[in-house]
Parts: sequence; structure tokens; C-alpha cells
Amino acid sequence: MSCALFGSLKRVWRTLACSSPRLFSSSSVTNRPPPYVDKNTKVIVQGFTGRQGTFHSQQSIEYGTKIVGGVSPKKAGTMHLGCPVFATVEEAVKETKADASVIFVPPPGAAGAIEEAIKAEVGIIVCITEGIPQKDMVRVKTLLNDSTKSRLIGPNCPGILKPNECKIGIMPGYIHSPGCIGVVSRSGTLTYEAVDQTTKYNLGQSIVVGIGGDPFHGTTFMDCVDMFLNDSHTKGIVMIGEIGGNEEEETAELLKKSSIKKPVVSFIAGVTAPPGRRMGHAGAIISGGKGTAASKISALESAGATVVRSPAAIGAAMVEKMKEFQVNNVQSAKN
Amino acid sequence: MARKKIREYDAKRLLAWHLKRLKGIHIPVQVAQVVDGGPSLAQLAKPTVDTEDHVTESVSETPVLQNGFGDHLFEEWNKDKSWLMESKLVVKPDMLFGKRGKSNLVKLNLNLDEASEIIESLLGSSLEVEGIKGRVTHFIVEPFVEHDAEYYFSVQSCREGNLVSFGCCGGVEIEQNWDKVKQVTIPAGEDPTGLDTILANQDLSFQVREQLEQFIKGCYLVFEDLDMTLLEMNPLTLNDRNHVIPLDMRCELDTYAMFKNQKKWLDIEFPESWGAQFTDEEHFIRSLDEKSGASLKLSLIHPKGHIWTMVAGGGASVIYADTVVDLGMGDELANYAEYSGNPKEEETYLFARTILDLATRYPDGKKRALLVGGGIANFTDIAATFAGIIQALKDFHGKLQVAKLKVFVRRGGPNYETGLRLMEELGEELDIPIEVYGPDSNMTCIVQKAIDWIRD
Repeated sequence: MSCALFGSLKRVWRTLACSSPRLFSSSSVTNRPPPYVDKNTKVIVQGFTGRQGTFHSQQSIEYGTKIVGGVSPKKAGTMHLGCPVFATVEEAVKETKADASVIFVPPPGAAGAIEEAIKAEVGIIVCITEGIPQKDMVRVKTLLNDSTKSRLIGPNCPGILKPNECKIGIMPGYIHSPGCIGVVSRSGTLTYEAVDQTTKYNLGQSIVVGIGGDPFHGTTFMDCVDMFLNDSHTKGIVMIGEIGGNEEEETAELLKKSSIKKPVVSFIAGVTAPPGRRMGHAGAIISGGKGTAASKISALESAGATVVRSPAAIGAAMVEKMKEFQVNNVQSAKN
Repeated sequence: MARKKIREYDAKRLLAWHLKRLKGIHIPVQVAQVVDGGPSLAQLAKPTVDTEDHVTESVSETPVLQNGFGDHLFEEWNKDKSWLMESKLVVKPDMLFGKRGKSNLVKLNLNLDEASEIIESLLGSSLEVEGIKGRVTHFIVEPFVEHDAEYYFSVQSCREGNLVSFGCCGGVEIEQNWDKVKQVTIPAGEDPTGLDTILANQDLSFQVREQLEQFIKGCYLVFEDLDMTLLEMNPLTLNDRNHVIPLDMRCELDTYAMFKNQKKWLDIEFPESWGAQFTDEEHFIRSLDEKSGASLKLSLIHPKGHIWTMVAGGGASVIYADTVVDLGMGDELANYAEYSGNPKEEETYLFARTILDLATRYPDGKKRALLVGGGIANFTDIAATFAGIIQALKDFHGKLQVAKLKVFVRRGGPNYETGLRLMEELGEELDIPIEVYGPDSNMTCIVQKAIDWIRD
């Protein structure tokens, strides 16, 4: 009897894709806070007194973010950047009534930091850390599923920003301007391009969310697009996706089913990557047919989105799309 | 999470070791590895005699340890290879590719001489498997196991937890028999009580069922304890003494968990995937990347190509590669390279040097372009980052002229004006063409400019 080949992984992936229940339903279903921040959001920083925590907190404070304190067990009881330092998240939340937390803790302690924030019922938890082991993230996701009070953004993400009001994370504040375009992205660098262009075209941004490049992450494209569709200040949506996974396809479904329609412009990175090859992020891997750029592009186009072939075209495409929508709205008003 | 495949030789040793440690289960795994450039199979087979003049046991039992992982005892167990002379053997290349049976690469029921001959004929040679060429450098050798039943068993991490699969229909035709495979998902962090259902209603004798149950529960524990992302056995069987033994096995580990598992993962290696033979330069950049908190990546595509890239950011670098291909110049795209996460000046310098070395290696009278691209940085000081690149350009300026290389720069971020000005001044100083663009130009504008330059 000959020795065997291995079972088909392709088959297992197909099973998973069809049968897996949605782990993170949109906010409108779970009552979890939507991915939204503004000038009233009170933020604490976990890993406050470390090098990364200090540098980015300084930048956030200069931007106008309401940083109300931080957590650092070794320096509890002291002041840092004009804010109190606490030993635990629970204490910090109790004293400051914080709504959000940003985590600058290295991989060995990062999952624990997220768990601490969930247990303290922090509303928006932004985890910047890259390199958290999968087993740790699976445990975090279970905790999150049981919680209705907390939303995780990330890990391995640049953060969330509302122009001139609140900057939680490491993105460059100065390229943003207050306006009406909601931006959601898996890639940090490309987000800044989309933001820069929409600023230059005088559209500005309503909220910008970087959901991060890891395969396991707390906030999805669907969560953000759902929020944008329901937010009266957001008039247009920019979505920057990557090869791997099927969130872009699921978002296309959401767009189709939604009674609210808004102009959507998208760009998918990694078109030329062959299957099985890893480029850029650990999350951008194609497996077994699903998750190719082609499947995402066709799904989004069938949902009415414009998918540009170059990130340079995002701003101009949005201007065009907004005009189209205005014309259509006027037409339907006339009819 | 970063899933990395490991060799079957390492996977089996890890499993045997930790099954014993965690659950006291003994599986009769005996494996030997023949490596290109290392001792031959015949050399490995010579019995080991230690200083107290007594030969180690011919049936290897993994000693259970009271504390730690007893690496030195693991070594002892590993050393005894006398079974190579006593059993009939199975020989397979152990190079992270599957479907070895279908590719006729599994050789069964051999004696030591026959096994040595097969290994000798293939070791170090080039092989094409399912369209991908590579060099065979590792073989796994095991005792041939007479058996009847062939089972399929796997554990795989998925969004909801761990997906466990079992079927009595294991073997080469598993894909056709997939509907007979039973599956259960154990939610993350929960006790695997659901594992009992996997064997229910399967055609198994009471004794076999008991053995398999113990084994499967043990494997699940090992899977979780070692931060595995995949553990697959096909076929799994029982030998003539009714011990469970995996005949073919495949395993992946989450290397993000490396910081906590260095001791548990013993001395295993994380090889590159089949066909991914790296050049010295790629190895060098990988070692820089491993040591650094920043990210530095290099992949050579067409070493004699005329469009070279050195882009800041994982996302942006993919865009530049895509744009070159979109504009029809995929055959000229020499490399993929990215740097991000605020690398130190020395790191950027070495990174740039490596790329310039490669870019100027094959001057052929035709023009070349180097795209120093990127988006708008968030917190890196552009002028500071460029310092390393500028120094590398100075080192290579003679070769740049010979190779007719023009540098196109596009970047934004803190202090970008100074950074771009320094680049421009460098061009004048060294008499090499350098064109600079800031955030007012779109990110990939330099791709078209580079193509126009080359074609001119």
C-alpha cells in the first residue's frame, strides 16, 4: 500500500468559508459601540510611559485629543505629559471615566492588555501592536464576543481619527481635514494617500479607520461601512482593501442590501501577487481561490462601487462619483 | 499570526516528545534525516556507544521529564539510529511540499542499501513538483509499517477556535472521500469535550476506538500547547502492536509565539517554502530584518531587469510593483523591496547598499531606473531616513554611472522638503541623474517617468 498524499487544505477552507458564523456582526446588531470617536472621546493610554506610548501620546495631545490618563504599573501614582498614571486599566477608567484606550504594549503583553481593557468595559480599544500570537488573539476574540460594551480596532493597525477632534494612533494628523468622506483601510500607507487626495479635492474626511493588516482583527470593513452608511456626516466612502480573506466581498453584500446608498470608491492592493505568495502584510495571503483581487473587484463593482486601478485615482474618482449621486438624487426627486 | 510550515521530521519529533510530556502517551515514532552535505544514511546507522561502554536501547522510548524539557535527553533519544539496519525503510523528500505519493516520490519497503541509493540519486538535485522547481536538500527516513486501516486526522485553527477532523477513509483518495470525514469545532479556550463525537458512528473496534481517542485528545493538547496552526495526519494508522502512529504528517506553527516557545520548539528549523531558494543578498536582508524592530524585505524577481524599487511601507511597495506590471513592464521589474517601521540609519544604509549592488551588477549599456518611493510618512523624519540611502548612493556613484542608473524619488512626511533637497543636491554633486517629487505628485507618478526614461 502506498503512502498517502495529504488531505486537501482547499477543501477545508471551502468548508470554513461556507459554514463559519459571523464573529463580528455590525454594531447595529450587537449594540457594541460603532468605530467612531470625536472631540468628547476621553482616551487612556496603555503602555503610557514607554517610548512609543510617550511619543504618540504627545502627538495626539497636540492634535487636540482628550488624553485623560495612562496605565503603567511601574510608574503608577506619578504624572506623565500632564496626565495621571494608573496601575491598572480598571483604576484608570474609574478615575477618568475614559471611553477609549490605545495600546502600545509589545507582543508578549499585548493580548493581556486588550483583555484588561475588555474586562474594564472600555468602549473603544485601539491596539497598535504588531506580532501578537494567534492563540492569544483567538482568546481575545472569545472575550470580545461575550462583551457588548467593547469594540476592538486592530491589532497591528494605525488607529482611528476624526479630523481636528480626535487622533488615536500613529497616523500623520496634518494631512487630514474635516469633511464628508469616510475612509476605511487595511494598509496604513495607502490610507494616508486616500486622505491626502480627499483633502486636496476639498472633500475632507468624516472618520478615518485603519483596521490593520492581521488576519484576525477586531473591526471589519463591514463594521465601518455600516457606520458610514448610517452617519449623516459621511457622504462618500473610500475602502482600501488587500488580497486575502473575504471581507471586501462581504461588504459588497452589505452595500447591495442597504436601503441607504452612498458613493463608494475602492482600491484593492496586491493585484499582481500570485496565489500562495506573501507580500506586504502577513494578512495578505490568497488561499484556494477566495480572496483574489479579481473576486473582490467584481464583487464591489457589482454592488455599485467604483474600483480604481491605481491609488492615485481615488480622489478624482470620488469627486466624479459624488457628482453622479447628486445628479441621480435630483433625477429621482424630480420623478 | 504568522503560520510557518515545518519539516515532517521535526513535526514527528515534536509530537512524540510532547505527547509523552503532556499525556504520557507513547507513539513509536522513529525518524532519521539525511541532509545534503551532512552524514550519509549509512553513517547515521552506525550504533552509538557512550563513554560508559553501553549501547543505547534499540527501541527508543521518550523519557518523561520532571522539569524543563531536558534538551540533552532529547539529543540522546535522537542519536540512536540502529533501527535503520534492523527494519525495512520508507524514504521521502522532506521539503514542505505535499502529494509526494502522486509524484512517485515515496519509496517503500527498502533495505538500508536500497534507501541509501535512492537518497544519493536525488539529494542535491533539482526537481520540479507541480510546476515549481527546487533543490532537494532533506530526506526523511522511517521504518516501514505494515498496516491495514488508514485514517485521516487534522486540527486546524480557524476564526471560531479549532476545527478537528477525523475519517476512516484516509489515504491517497481522501479528497474523493471528504464527505465521510467528521468535523467538530472546539471553541477557543474551551475544554475539548466535543472530541468524543468525532469518533462516534465510525466503523471502529472498541480497542481501536479507545487508542484513537487517547491519541486524538493528546494531539489536541499538544496542538494548543505548542501554538500550532495546523496539524494533519494522512494516513494515521495502528501498527502490529496496536500503537497509533502517523505515517504522513504535516504541521504549521505560529511564529508570532516564538518568544514564549523557544524551549518547547526544541531544535526545529523554519525552512523556506519549496522553490524559494534565496540568494545571498536576500538572506542578508532577512537577517537584518530579524535583528531589527523595523521591517526590511527584499525579493529578487528579474536580477537583470532595468526597473529597481526601494519603497517605504508594505502596502505602498505592493502598489509600486503592481503599477510597473500594469504599465506593461513586468519583465523589467527586477525586485520587490520594502522598508518601514523607522529603521536605523545603519540599517537603511546596508539595505540601500545591497539593492544598489544588485542594480549595478550587470551593466549592459541600457538605461536603468531606481524608484525610491513611498507614501506620506506619519512620524519618520524623511531627511533622517534618506541619510542612509544617500550614503549608499555616494558609495556606489561610479557604478551608478556605468550602469546608467537614474534615481526617481517620491516621498512625503515630516521634513520631506529637506530630504528631497538633499537628494537633489547629491545628484548634482555626484553627477548622477536624480529626480525628486513630493506629496503634491501622486504616489506612483514616478513609475511612468521611469518607464519613459528607460524607453527613451
